Amino acid sequence: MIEVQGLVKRFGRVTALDNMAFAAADGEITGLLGMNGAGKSTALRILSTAVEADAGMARVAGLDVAKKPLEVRRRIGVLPHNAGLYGHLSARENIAYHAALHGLRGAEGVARVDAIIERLGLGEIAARRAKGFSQGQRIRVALARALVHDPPALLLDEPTNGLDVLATRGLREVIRERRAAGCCILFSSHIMQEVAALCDRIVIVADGRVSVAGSAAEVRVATGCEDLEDAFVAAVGGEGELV
Amino acid sequence: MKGFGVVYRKELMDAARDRRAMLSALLLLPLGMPLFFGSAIFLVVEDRMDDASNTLSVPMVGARAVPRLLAQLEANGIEPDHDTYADRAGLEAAVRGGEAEVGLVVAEDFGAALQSGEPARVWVLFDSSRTTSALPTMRLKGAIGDYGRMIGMGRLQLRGVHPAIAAPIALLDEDFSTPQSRSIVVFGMMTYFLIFATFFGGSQVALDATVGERERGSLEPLLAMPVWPRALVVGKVLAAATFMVAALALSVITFAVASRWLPLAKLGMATSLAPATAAGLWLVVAPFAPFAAGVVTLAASFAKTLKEAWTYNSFAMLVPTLPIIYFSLKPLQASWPLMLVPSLSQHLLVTSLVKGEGVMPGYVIISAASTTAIAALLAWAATTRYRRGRLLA
Repeated sequence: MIEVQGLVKRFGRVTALDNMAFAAADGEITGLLGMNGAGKSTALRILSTAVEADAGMARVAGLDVAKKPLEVRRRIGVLPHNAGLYGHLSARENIAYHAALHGLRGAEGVARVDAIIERLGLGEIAARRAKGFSQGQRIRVALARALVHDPPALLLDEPTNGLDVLATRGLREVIRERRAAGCCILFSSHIMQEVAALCDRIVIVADGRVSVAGSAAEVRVATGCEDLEDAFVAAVGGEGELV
Repeated sequence: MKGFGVVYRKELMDAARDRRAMLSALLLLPLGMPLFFGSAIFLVVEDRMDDASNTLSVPMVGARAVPRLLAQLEANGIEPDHDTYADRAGLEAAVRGGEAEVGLVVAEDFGAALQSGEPARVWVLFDSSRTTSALPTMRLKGAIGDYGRMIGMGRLQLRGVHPAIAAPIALLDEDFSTPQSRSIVVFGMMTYFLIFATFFGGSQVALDATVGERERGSLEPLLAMPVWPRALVVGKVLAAATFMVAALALSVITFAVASRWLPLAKLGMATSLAPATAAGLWLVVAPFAPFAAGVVTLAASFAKTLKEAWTYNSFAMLVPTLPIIYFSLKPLQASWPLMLVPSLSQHLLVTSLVKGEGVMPGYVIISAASTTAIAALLAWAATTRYRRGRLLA
């Protein structure tokens, strides 16, 4: 369970989050949909305790991110914007490093790392250094790293960016599998089709606030648009500025 | 503090695989500097030895007329060259242009002046901005001065005056330096060198582990790990310090080995750095490593890119050398309060060790404790930068 209420975050004069509020349930995939700069990444960073909010409240599994950051970190898996792997370390070493920081060391650590490498089909590249990986390989290793401690909540920041069709499909499959296991998944994207294909609930954000939230059908009703893309455009305030 | 060991081991492994970092840490300064430094000393010393023992050929004008002066010069290993320059103008031009290091011009009335008891003039032509002219000029002047004094004493004796009358003060040298203490002239630069080698040994590692991590985007997932920022900072600082201590060890060893080949004995200096002294050097400078790692880590936490961090770092590296520069111009003795100052305390201890004076164990302990405590303070300051948001914003 992820809950966000009245979240405010300013960077200098720029207001990134302006009273943002939404919730994501366990066993569901929630899509955070918005244009670039709408505040998606900032919201995810606050939830992952990497950034502190100026006001408002954010909870993961019932724990306040501001008061219990370490407890929250034990319960989340984070896939950042650009994977963020260590180039000099192999895929396995990258995953094992985060496993060890989660306290998974020794035989247990090895077993967990082996299991996630197996599940994500990383066996072939496990011993290779991450420096020369393709974008798809990088994202898969980063996802393995985020899942190695079996977290009840997953924060994925635009995970399908730069992935080909096959890689995207593989990623969706893993995410659905986590949903079936009861994981609470928050997924940010600026691509409408991506969110429509995967998410149970959609939260459309614009200018640091939630403009519409609900299932795909509810979003269509709320915006009065049949087509989901039209609904998105209507929800973020129209395309007047762009034309 | 849980997790700092995991971070430490990962940073060591990461850095050990970075060929560029290793090259700059363990080869550039630790191996390069002593060799460069050593060969420079070698050349200078060999050059001087040559000058002092060899016959010095000096171009002269008008000296054929003064055979007694020439005989005196030849007795001092100075060989006259009457033929290369015909007149004073030619010789002057040669000295100005650097063709001749020193030249001698004897006044035409030299003989007459000597006969009549007037000061007889000779000109020593040289260019003091040329380092190579200093020794030949000194030898020539010395030999002429000796000849002049000899004549003066003879004149006094002829007039029935005891020559000691004209030498009221006997200036006697008593030099208490030992071969080892004289070698400070050469090894005195050692502290700079060791401190720079230590700094460089871990700078790349420290910057890669901090601002490099931020630049490559791996900092954000790392900050989502269930460990406190202090565990991250301590792990990273210790990893950098480990490389620094290794670079320091390598530098001291290279220096000790290179010093065996230096012709220092010819300069009346101790011939080499004894293994025990080398080990002592490593021991007294080693606490500087965590301090330097702390400085670099803190400086890096204010930078957004590696490039920016290197700029800060080069300034940060200058600061610890300032007290050394100041106090090598204005030397001072080791004392308890000075042992509290990082870099200065190491400098004073290194100087004492190299001079063979020995150091008080208490000084070593205070220097180590104080430098380490300040390192911890720097790490703590860096930790505040690692708390939420500051580094990602």
